Amino acid sequence: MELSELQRDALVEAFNIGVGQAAASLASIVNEEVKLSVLTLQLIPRDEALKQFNFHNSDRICAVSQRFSGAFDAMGFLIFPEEQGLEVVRRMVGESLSLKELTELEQEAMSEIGNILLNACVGTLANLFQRPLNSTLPTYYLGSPQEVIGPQIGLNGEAVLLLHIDLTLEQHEIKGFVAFLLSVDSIAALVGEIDRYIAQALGGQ
Amino acid sequence: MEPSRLSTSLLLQLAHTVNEGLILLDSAGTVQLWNRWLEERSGIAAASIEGRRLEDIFPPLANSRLAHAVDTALRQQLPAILSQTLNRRPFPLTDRPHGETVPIEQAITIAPLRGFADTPYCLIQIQDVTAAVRRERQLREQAQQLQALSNIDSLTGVANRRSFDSRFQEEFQRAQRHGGHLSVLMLDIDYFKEYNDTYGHQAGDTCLTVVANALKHCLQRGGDFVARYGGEEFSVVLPGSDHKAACTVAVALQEQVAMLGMPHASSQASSHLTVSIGVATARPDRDARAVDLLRAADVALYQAKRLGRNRVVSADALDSTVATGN
Repeated sequence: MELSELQRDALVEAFNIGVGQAAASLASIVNEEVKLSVLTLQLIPRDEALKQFNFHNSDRICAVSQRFSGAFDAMGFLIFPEEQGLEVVRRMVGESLSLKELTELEQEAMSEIGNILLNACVGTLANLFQRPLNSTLPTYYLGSPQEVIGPQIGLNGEAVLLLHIDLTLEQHEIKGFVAFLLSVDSIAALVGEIDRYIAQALGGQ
Repeated sequence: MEPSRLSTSLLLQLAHTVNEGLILLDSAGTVQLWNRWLEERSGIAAASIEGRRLEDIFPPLANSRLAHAVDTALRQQLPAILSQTLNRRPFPLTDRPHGETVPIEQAITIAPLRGFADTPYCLIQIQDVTAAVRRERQLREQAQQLQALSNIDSLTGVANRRSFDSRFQEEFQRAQRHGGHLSVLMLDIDYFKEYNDTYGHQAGDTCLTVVANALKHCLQRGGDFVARYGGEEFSVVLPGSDHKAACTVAVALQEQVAMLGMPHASSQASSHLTVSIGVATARPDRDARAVDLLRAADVALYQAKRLGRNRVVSADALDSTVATGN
């Protein structure tokens, strides 16, 4: 189930085009430069992914999720440690006063940021599959990784396609994750499509 | 429920009855439906908008985030939300809740739909979140007031000890980072206990307030601040001031209080109210500690008191007073 280096590089490159568009959307909202890039990508079992979401044992994570269906089924998440999540929203919204938790309207803003990022990433996957994907509207979560991700997965053998992302807002670097929970079938389909995409890219040279 | 059992007329009634704005766009981005909620709040009749493109009616929408999200819904079937905080009022809608016209704050959802033979459509839903925006503004204002109150000494209105501790620490770290000077004055009202005994505690409170105001008005630069350190003791922080400048400020503060001319019959230093001030300055390096600078100012103040009060003592030259009053 592991990805080869070639497969990983191809995916990182594809995703970086997607998140580049998301950065442009975010930048036009805040009228400021926003940098967004995918640093690394892993395909790992869900337990291992949950461990990574514990960050430095910071208790809670702030997440936005959408459920995707169509060419493959997946739950997509944008994940930040709680504090960084607050920082992302406050820098985007430009509000200096920090209440302890995001207000209702700030949660909406976070959902929109997640929506822009997840759509960009899934748009990339849809391009790979050359088939559109359907999606639910984004939902905002705050809780432990177990509380947020746990209930979303029940099937055995699920894996997580994990993207380490770097978001730069007002010269502040914020690190987070985009994660796609995939079923075994979806993983097989994804790997098949990556190989097809690589073959096409190599053939097209 | 079988959708086919609902008549077109019923579905249209539904679209016009819901308590939110509904816009249906076809794959070319042309308005197919503009519901009554929107008619009422935009002043634009459906008849004059249906069949036209949104951007033609609302030019600012061209190339906007909304236009982009509509495009994504139509081409990629992906839904989007536009939050009120990140997208201020994409549509020019107003309401008259109490007679006066107010703009409507909007939360927008954009969802892909499929028509006959899978033709893509896009549904824009607009919610009125004006009340939520107002509520959060109030919440924020209250939090701001609370925060300000918790940093202020309730009697004198200057910064309290808690606020002093954190701001002094901040300024110290800033000086460490940027290699600048940081000066601090410790200031004591002379024979304040005797003042209280002679004139009463209420007069004592007034005295503290008058002195605090005098100190505050004496400080000219934005970053300078005065805090009530405790009892009758005040501290003044002068970021970026070297020792000479800080001593000049200290002498000015001492004179300012003397010029108030508040009678103090039981003072052994003068016939009116006076203060003693200790001045210390640092250009802190990485290993320096804020507490040492504070202690130096404190020692200087102690010396000023020992030498007979009503004077300024510099920590740099502890055995020579910078200035004395009358």
